[in-house]
Amino acid sequence: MRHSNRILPLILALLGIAACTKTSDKGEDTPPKEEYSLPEVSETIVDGNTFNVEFFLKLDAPSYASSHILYFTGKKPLVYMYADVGYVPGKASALVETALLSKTYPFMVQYDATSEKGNLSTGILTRYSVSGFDGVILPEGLFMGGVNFNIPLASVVSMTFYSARISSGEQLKALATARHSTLYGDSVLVGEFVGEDPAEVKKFAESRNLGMRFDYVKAGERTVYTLVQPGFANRGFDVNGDCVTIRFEKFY
Amino acid sequence: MELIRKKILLVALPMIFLGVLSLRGQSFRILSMNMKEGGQYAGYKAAPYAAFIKEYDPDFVCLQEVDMRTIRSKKTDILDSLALQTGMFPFFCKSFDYQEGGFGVAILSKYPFYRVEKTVVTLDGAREPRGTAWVYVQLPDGSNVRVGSVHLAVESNDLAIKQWADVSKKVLLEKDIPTILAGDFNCPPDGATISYVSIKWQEIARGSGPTIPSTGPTTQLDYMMGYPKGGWKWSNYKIIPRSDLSDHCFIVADLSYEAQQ
Repeated sequence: MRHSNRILPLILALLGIAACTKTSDKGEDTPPKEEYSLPEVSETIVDGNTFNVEFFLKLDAPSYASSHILYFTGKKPLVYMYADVGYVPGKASALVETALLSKTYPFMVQYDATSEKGNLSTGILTRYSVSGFDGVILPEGLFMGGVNFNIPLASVVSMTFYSARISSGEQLKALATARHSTLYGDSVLVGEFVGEDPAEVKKFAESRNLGMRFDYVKAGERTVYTLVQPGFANRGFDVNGDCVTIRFEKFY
Repeated sequence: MELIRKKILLVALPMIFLGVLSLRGQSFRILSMNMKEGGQYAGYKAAPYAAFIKEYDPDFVCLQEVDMRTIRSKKTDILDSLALQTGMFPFFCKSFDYQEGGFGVAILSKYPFYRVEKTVVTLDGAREPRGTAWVYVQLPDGSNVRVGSVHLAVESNDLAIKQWADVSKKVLLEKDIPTILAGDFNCPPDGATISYVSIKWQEIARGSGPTIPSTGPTTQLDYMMGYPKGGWKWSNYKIIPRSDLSDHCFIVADLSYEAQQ
């Protein structure tokens, strides 16, 4: 009788431990991992939550470029971006001249490190008085910059309009790491893609690697891309010669 | 033996020279100008100021009392005009709305800036808000520098110090970028504001002389301050009176930064 008093609790304890153990090492009872996918984008567009950005493959003569800004009819873009804007330190800049004529504020996102001989960049113009221009230089020499100001949507939003010339998904990841809070906040990233395969970058960006919406369009031989967090969507590119108009929507 | 000695010198001297160079940051030139009521002395025209700037060929120009499309300047953008005429990049920080436009401080940079910020301070008892403009620039040697243009409160040292504390805290929080803050401090060298500023900041060319009025300077109100303290070297510091352009003299200096060990 004494022995059964010791053995019975032991058996019960062993049974209890066995009940807590996984029934199978092969995980047959654990649910399968779901494929990651971004939230669906509604087909209905709320016009009051949309805004436009124009990305030009080059900067035309200042008089022409400024006329476009001043006399455009329709939904005015909030920001104008221009690829391949050259500058030489100490020489008059076409971007600054365009800004002067069009009553806008000029900024530049360099392609490469600063040089006394000058460089190429993406020029940015906006009619809005900016709160700031947020920029980052990654160790590998990649520049990203963006103007920040308030825009009127369903509510007033402090938006940052970034640009960077990229060639790979890894570069996007590095930028997203450097500016995590803003790129995953109220911002859009627009620029030229100069790599091999934008479709691969799209797969990369929209996977768990970034979890962001990546869209692109061919404009002639060149590729313009956008990157936004899931709370935004690119509602379409409109390519008209050297000008790519991009319509974005913020979801509420 | 003589041959060996010469060979050693041939190898060692360039190494010593390069070693010295690698310790020094790139030198750059800063010019600070109070434009006096948006350029009033020159009829709100950019050309006379641009001609002056080009004469000194600075890398950065820190401007105070800048108008942006005001009625008195006939709604012109004097800053962009200056930028175009000097081949520099402009950044305007509005301190407050004025005459259907804006009034504040600004910076011109010979090189594109990769980041800009504004600090606008509104203090109880102050006549008006005060803005400070910041630009972050990568210089041709690959080093980064932060340059600010400031115009401190004129009402009292107390307000100026409070404004300074607000302005400089961002720099103290981001210590890794050498910083120059230049402008109109509205305080003489022995004043409380300058004493306070000098606790953490290095005054460039201390004791260099008065800067106002430009017709015959008797007091210094314009300064350049460097952070971190102790690492800044300067040369060719000048005080330039141009009574046709401003009631303030303009100040210019060549600066470089060496990290302290």
